[in-house]
Amino acid sequence: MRKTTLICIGILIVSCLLFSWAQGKIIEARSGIRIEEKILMLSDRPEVTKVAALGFDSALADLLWVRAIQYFGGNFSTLDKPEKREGLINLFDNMLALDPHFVAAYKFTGFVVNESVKDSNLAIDYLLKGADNNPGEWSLPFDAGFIAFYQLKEYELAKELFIQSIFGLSLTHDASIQTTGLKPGFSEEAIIDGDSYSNAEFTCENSSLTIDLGAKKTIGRIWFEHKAPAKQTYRLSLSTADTPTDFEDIETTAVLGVYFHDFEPPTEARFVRLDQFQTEADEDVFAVSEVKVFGARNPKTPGYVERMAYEMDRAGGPVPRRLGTIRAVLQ
Amino acid sequence: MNKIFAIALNTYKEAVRNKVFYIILVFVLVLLAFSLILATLALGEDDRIIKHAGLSVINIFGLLLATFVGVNLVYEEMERRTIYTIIASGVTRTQFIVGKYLGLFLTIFVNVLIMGTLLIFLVGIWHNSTITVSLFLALYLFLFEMMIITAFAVLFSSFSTPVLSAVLTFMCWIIGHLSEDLLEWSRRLFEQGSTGTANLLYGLYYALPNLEIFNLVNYVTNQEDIGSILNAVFLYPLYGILYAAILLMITILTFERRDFK
Repeated sequence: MRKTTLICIGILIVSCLLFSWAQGKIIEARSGIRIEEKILMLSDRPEVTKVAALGFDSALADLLWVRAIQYFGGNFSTLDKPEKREGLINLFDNMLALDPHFVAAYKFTGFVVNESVKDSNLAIDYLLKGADNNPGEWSLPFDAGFIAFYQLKEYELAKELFIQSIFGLSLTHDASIQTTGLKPGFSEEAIIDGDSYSNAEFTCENSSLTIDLGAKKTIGRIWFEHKAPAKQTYRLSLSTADTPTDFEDIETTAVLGVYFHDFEPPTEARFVRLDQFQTEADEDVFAVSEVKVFGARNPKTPGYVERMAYEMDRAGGPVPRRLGTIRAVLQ
Repeated sequence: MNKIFAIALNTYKEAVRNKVFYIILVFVLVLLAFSLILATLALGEDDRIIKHAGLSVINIFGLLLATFVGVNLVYEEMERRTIYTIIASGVTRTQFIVGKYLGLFLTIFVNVLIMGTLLIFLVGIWHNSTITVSLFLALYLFLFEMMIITAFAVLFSSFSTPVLSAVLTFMCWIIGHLSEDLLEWSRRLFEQGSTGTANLLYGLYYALPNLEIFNLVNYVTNQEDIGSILNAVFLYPLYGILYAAILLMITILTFERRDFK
């Protein structure tokens, strides 16, 4: 064997031994550092991550998804600690910014933030952000509604979210409202502000309430609600139109608390009008607490969601009893 | 025309001899690894991951192929002095450049075709999931992105060294994926009243390639509107062809004036 070859083999063997020793030392030195946390050192500005992804947004979101699952699996009982929480929330923010249509990621984020990070409000925020980005996904507002019901015991909010999972967001969110016969001291905003406990009172004679959706839209349900001051039956007339003068009567109906009209199939209209108000006691006060107009029913939403929404109206009951009712509904 | 095809075919054969198709083998291994490993880690989202990973890997390998083969195309011919023989045999410089370009694009086309078929096979047969039109559309549009990248590689190769050409081509790819931000920036500046800067950025956006229009990777698993299908089938490819043609003309003009000594 040549001298050079022997020297090379000698150096190789010595290098391998030294390398093995150095590697052992490195493992020892870094034993306290969890490698998995390095992946959480992402930019805390998800929009920067999105730019840096250079078009591979979804593929990067997938990698973060796999990492998030592994991280959750290894730390699920300690994620409410600030140092763990910060990294994980950052990971979720980046993942969801990279792919705003990743439905499973929103559901997982909602679950982890609610159960392990123990921040139910934040979990609902994530799920509703997902619902905004994926309007056809009934399960996102449903999950948010379930957290509102079970964790926060916010039954009114839970009902709203369950309804959102059936019909999507109310079209009245960006609608304008015109009224005649509104009593002094009451505001039109109270009717479409989403708070069903604030009333707007009308006189019964020649009063009307017209909602302008801004453009012709598909309407699946019109929802009317009254909660105060006294429970009594009201009568009102409902009509829709494409122009503010050309209303077509839908029905005149009696209302006790909540009334809704479903359009099967959904109708197209820009204006919705409620008028011909009457009260059972023949008083000249007709109180409206909330009017909402919804789009078409999501055909994918299971039937039990609607029944759960109505269960939420029995607000204030102890959770075990309410859960029992919900279980019965689910069965 | 025959001379162009002869050069194109020769370029393709040379690429095959240089074993560039080994990249397909690597692709298959990467894809299989993703399929087997991630299926167990992805909590039911393996279908989505395999589609995204597959298209991204095709994208990256296509870019590497276009860059590293493209930047050597003209440079090597001049380094080995083979360009003298070619030019002396009656091939014009224009025919040489166009032939080289078409040969490289053919190589990339065959690569993408094989990798795309493997991906569709894996998604449809192995994972038994839905093969959507957007998956085919993503592969189709990707070819036009490569058309532009190849044109950049050949352009830089005609006047620069391979290393510098590779860096410049890669830069163009990055800029191409970010250029839409210039448009947005320009709009914002226009609203704020900075018309001069806004117009400058608008001009830059016009001059730089917009490669994001060819990127459908993010849409293959989302049931959302991917814009007008007509745009994806006709307008975006037309943009790609025209942009590549402009680059090719600039390459020919540069190469015509180049002194081989």
